[in-house]
Amino acid sequence: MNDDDRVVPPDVVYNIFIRTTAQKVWDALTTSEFTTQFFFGRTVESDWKQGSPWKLLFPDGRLDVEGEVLESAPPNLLKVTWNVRWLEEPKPGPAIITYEIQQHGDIVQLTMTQHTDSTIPRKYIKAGQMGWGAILSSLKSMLETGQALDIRMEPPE
Amino acid sequence: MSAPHTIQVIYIRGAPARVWRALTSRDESRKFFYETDVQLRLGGAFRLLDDAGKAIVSGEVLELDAPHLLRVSWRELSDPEHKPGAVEYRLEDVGGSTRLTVSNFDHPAPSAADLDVGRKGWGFTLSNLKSVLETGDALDPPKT
Repeated sequence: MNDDDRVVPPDVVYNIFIRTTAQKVWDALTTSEFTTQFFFGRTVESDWKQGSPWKLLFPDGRLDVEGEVLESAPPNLLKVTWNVRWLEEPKPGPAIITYEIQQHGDIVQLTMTQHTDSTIPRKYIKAGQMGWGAILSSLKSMLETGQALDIRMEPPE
Repeated sequence: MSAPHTIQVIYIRGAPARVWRALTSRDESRKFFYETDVQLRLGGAFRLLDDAGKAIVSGEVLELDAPHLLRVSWRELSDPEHKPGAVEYRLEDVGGSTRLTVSNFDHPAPSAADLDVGRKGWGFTLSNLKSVLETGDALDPPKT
């Protein structure tokens, strides 16, 4: 088995707890003013209504990810399809990304779940887990300290 | 040993040595987790203590490369049937921040329900560690 073999990856489930409000987490995930700070410079485009398209763009404007808003219940739930546009052929089918945002007192529990039924090269599994960890850790730093993290990330080998 | 059943990753502003101190010192660990009493040498004793000072987890140091790797055996003392597993803390410098990866090993693997509880628990512990180091303040545990 090598790292280019294609497998159906297990769901990635990431729980992070942030001292903030559900509305601020929602705004951070859906507004370019914030995504440029914690999501490696990327911007987002959508009206975030159920059935609407959405896009994630690289800092230079190229398309990174696009999909459709499957469910939207601000500020507690956002579920979207996630098609990475730059992966080599054969492109995998869409992943489904769900953000659940629950307020508990002055803490928000943000749970991100990534689910897919299609195969991806094995090398992207660990990179995906590390990538989500970096993005959501940076989101937490931004909301709690006013400053996102500066993280050096290597592309998957 | 088989593959970990749970891998948690968090990125924390600051160098690995700072995160290492928080994880391995009694005074700092209890601010975000249980008090951790560990003798930092191979075979050294490892214990987690509750607020009353009672041990709830015990084990020993299996691998050590301060401040980058600590692997300990892990027996849950509340469950006499529990077969000891292992927990590994790996700390890497990623350009001014630390990537902390916590891996859990148990054989047999826990039930799906226990895995879910464990993942939320570790998610909270690592979030709390990050808040303590970046803001100086711990998080209030969510009442769920």
